[in-house]
Amino acid sequence: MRQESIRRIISICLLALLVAVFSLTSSYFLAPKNVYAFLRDASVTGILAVGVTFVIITAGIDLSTGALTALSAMIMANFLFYLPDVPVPVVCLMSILIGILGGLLNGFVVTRLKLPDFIATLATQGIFRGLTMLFAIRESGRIRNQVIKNKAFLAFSGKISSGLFYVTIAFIVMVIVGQLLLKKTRVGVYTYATGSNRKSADLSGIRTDGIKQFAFGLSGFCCGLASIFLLARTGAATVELGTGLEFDVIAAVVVGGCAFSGGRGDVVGSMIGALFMSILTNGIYKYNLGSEYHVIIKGVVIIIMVLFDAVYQRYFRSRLHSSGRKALKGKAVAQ
Amino acid sequence: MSDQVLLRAENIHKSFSGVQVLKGVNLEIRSGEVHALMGENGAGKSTLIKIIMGVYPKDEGTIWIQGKQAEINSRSDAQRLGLAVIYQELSLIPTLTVMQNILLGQETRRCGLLDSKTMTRRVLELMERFDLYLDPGEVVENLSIAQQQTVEILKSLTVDAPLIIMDEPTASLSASESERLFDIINRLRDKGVGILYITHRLEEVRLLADRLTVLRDGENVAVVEKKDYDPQKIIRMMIGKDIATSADRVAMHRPGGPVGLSVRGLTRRGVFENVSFDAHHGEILGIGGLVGSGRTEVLRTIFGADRADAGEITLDGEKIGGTVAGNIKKGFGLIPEDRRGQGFIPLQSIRKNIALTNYDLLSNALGIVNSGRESRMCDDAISNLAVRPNIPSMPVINLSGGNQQKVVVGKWMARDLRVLLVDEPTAGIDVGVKEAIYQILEGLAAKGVIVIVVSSDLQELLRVSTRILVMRKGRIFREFNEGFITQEDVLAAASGIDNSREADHE
Amino acid sequence: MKKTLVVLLVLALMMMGMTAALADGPKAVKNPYKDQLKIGFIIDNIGHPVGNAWKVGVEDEAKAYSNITVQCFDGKSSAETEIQQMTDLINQEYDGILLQATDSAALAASVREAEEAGIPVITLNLDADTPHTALVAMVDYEAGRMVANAIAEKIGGKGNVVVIQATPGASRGINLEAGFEDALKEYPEITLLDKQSGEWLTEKANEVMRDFMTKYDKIDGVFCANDAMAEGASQAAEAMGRLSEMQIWGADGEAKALEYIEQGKMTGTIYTNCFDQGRTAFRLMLFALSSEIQPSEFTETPVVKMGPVVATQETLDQIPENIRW
Repeated sequence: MRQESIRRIISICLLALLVAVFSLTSSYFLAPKNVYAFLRDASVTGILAVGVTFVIITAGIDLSTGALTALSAMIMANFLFYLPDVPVPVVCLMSILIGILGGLLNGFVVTRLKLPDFIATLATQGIFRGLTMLFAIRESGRIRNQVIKNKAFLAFSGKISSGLFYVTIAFIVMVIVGQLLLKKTRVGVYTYATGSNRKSADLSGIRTDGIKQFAFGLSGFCCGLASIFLLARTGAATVELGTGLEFDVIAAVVVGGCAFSGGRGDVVGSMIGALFMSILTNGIYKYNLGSEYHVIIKGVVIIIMVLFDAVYQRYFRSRLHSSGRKALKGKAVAQ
Repeated sequence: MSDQVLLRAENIHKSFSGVQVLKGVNLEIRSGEVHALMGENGAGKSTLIKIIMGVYPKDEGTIWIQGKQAEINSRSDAQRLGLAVIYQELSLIPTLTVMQNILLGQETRRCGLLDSKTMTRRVLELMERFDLYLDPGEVVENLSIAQQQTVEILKSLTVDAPLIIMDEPTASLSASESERLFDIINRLRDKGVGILYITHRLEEVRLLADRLTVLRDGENVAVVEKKDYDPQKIIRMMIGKDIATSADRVAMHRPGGPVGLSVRGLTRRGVFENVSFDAHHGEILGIGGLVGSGRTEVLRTIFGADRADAGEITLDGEKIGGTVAGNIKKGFGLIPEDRRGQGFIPLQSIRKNIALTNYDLLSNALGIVNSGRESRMCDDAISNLAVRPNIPSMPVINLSGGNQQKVVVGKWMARDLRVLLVDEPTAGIDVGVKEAIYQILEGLAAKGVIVIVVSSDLQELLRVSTRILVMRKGRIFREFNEGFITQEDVLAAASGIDNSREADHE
Repeated sequence: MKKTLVVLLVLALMMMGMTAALADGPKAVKNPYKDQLKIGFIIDNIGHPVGNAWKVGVEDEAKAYSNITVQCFDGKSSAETEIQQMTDLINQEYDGILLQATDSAALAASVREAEEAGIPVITLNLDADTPHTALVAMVDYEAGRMVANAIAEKIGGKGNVVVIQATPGASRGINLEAGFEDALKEYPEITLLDKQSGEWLTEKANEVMRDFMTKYDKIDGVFCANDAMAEGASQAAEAMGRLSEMQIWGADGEAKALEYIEQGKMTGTIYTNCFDQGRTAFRLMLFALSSEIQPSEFTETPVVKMGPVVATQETLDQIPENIRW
């Protein structure tokens, strides 16, 4: 069995363990209502994580996702408030378009202006947040957030009859599409190649700048998509919407097995990471603990997960190294 | 070997900023041939390869690929023409699978999705054809170096009529892995692949090569057929003097001073074994040998940068431990080969770089740095070593290679130095400055410092050493401590030819 | 004196709503002295002194009831987090929710959801844009007016003032500012020179203030949307030796600001007894649980406003050590 599949099984086991612990200590934890709730909580982070997974696999980072999501949401809120006649699908398309444009701007700054990803997206984070403030709905010059009344739009926060929320369905679809893209298309293979060894990728004729551009564009698309559901959920676009969301997303992606050094991880891993974080949050709420502890526990769990990955990786490599050598020799003798 | 010529390069000229590096070099490789390319450091081998691979433009000359004149202006041009280089450092994508690496950039697709079934079949066919078997689904980073090399080779075999250039491919392989590689090379030759094999190692040439081109100072010396192979003759061709004249002979001396550094049975498993020698006060001990013979590693281990598996080191009778900080305190200094990467801190000033290893002397008990003493130390070093320009605040990155090296030397000289270990003292340094560095080393030796120099540049090794040890495959193979010797003697020893009787007669 | 500080009930309970609720069938009425009750308290940011003082007040009051547990949650100043916590409390069927909303619009849907599930929600300081059980608030618009009037009085209705604003979009900041500016309109000879956001932070306000002082030669009054920023502004003015020329006002009344006033580094603040506010919210929650009112029938949220004290050096003795937070 391959290293990746073993790691996947272990992380699913850890997830199951977490669920088991919480369900033992709280009878309510596995109630359908709560299950749908933590799935829903994982979904917005998870949708963003799909795009960020691509960026991190190219050895990049995207710090602008929270702000870009807020910007898309604010633009939609403007449409819904000032132009109530614009059909909801058009509004949603606008949001996705803003997302893609924002993502491409990130890609442009990184690949054309040659700024490091960290600085580039930190800067665009500020730009997007500033634009969000600029577009905030005002009354006599002061920002006054408006509750969205458009029923058709608010329906995005709804659920199907079984209780599963639409946003979770969107999340699942994005995971499937993202995973297929990553594993079954040329773009996906090139994404790994770019992040793992950019020089040799270049020498193999891969347009690595194009790949980075694509990854940022996809990340932007995910922001646009996520903002639709986020806005429907909050029912109002605020200037602070999505503040710090980018770190939740990055935490999910990293817990899911992506390495900052690039070339490692996949979308399903990030999905598990997002679930892991939301289940953890949801689970700790059930304990009568001070909220100081919530944050500490989360921090410790992130360290443990990433550490586990590093240690496991090292162990597996050294083991396979020797056994792989043996296998090769065995075959050579057989020839 | 067939007669089909895969690559012919004729009359290749190349100069860098006025210096002629290649002066009309010719090279011909046929399909089904292993063609060795030999020459000393600086003979122009790597420049020639880079021109063939389209990394550098040539100034003059023509290249034909399979009889057709070819313009190679980029790596991708070369790749399209079926040329591939397998470098010492591998250029695979570590986290992709064997299959994905082999077919990178040449994926098969169906309806936009990757057709992994067809791709796997292509890779298996390729493996079958060349008798090279690996698990196509295994991730490359989990493979051994030799297996990774196999992947690189397979990657270069995906084109028709491939020509593979191997640049010192055995440098990072163990003996058994090397043998396995030779086996692969022989099989590739039988399948009609052309191989250009660049190496310093004569025994590999003897084992593998069908023909051999020798370069010296950017010119062809000869093309030797396998049947005419004679290692002594080839060494003479590479060094370029048929009969060593007295001017090229250098006297070696038995050390006069007392034994200072004593190394006994030093071993680092898989790298070097049972290395024992004494170094005396006041001598410059040279260590020669081919790249990969363990010279650098021995230096690093003595310094404490690598851990020894066995053995004992004493300095003036005192046992030496295995930590860098401890050894610096005892008076050890190391000037590493990778000057830029390990020798200095590029963006820091000359002053800070010189002070870097000496803050124990420059600061008081509370750890507060005495900046007056710091700049005095720096000024002393700058004037002693004649660093140009002599501006203490200048970042070291802005100095020339020679002056950078002076700074690296300077940071050790300010101390009470007892042993200075130098790895390739003048690599990449202008000829003019080399002599200055040698004189600095000689000055140190005269003051009683034990200087140990590792160098691949034979001329340099002979110039600076008073005694030479030659390492080979992780062991000390020969010692030259008396009489006159020439570069030829050292190279022969490094290649495993024991002509000790000859040398003794000198 | 203490008595006057205690709740100034401006209970604007809509009697209409009350009667409608009474008429409208049975609601699960609970006995706060006997039933096991779970109350969730979502605080915008647990690191801020205001939220902390409320928490102390609520927990203090709850000690008397062994049958009631209070669980606090940190909203991390994030609407999404608070919404998730609201959902969780609703799903877990908490009996009542105390909420310091990060944003009144963004939390509206969650508050409605809770009320519809029969869980009374009492908001603190910031209203939610949907009718619910009650809002227990410090004065904000009025506080802004009070500061404007106090400054105007001191400088004789003539001079230059600046405002260091809250983080853009924060409702409390908006209301404070609105009150301040509306009151200023009555003093035509007072010029509002400039306003900049100090993002609620001491350091940021320090920067903004320094910038103001280099731009303007004469500043007579500074109004900051909270005490933390007023402290920053005071530090900046002191550093530039211009502390004596200007009035520096904050809002909230945290302990440190009161100290600053004692030392003459700040002119004043609008003090609210936050311990009391927490206790009030808790008591009101018990009332809501045991009564038959149905907030879903309200057309407007009843508001309880905490009595403010204009704290200056003259009035500081009205605020003894034990009610400073």
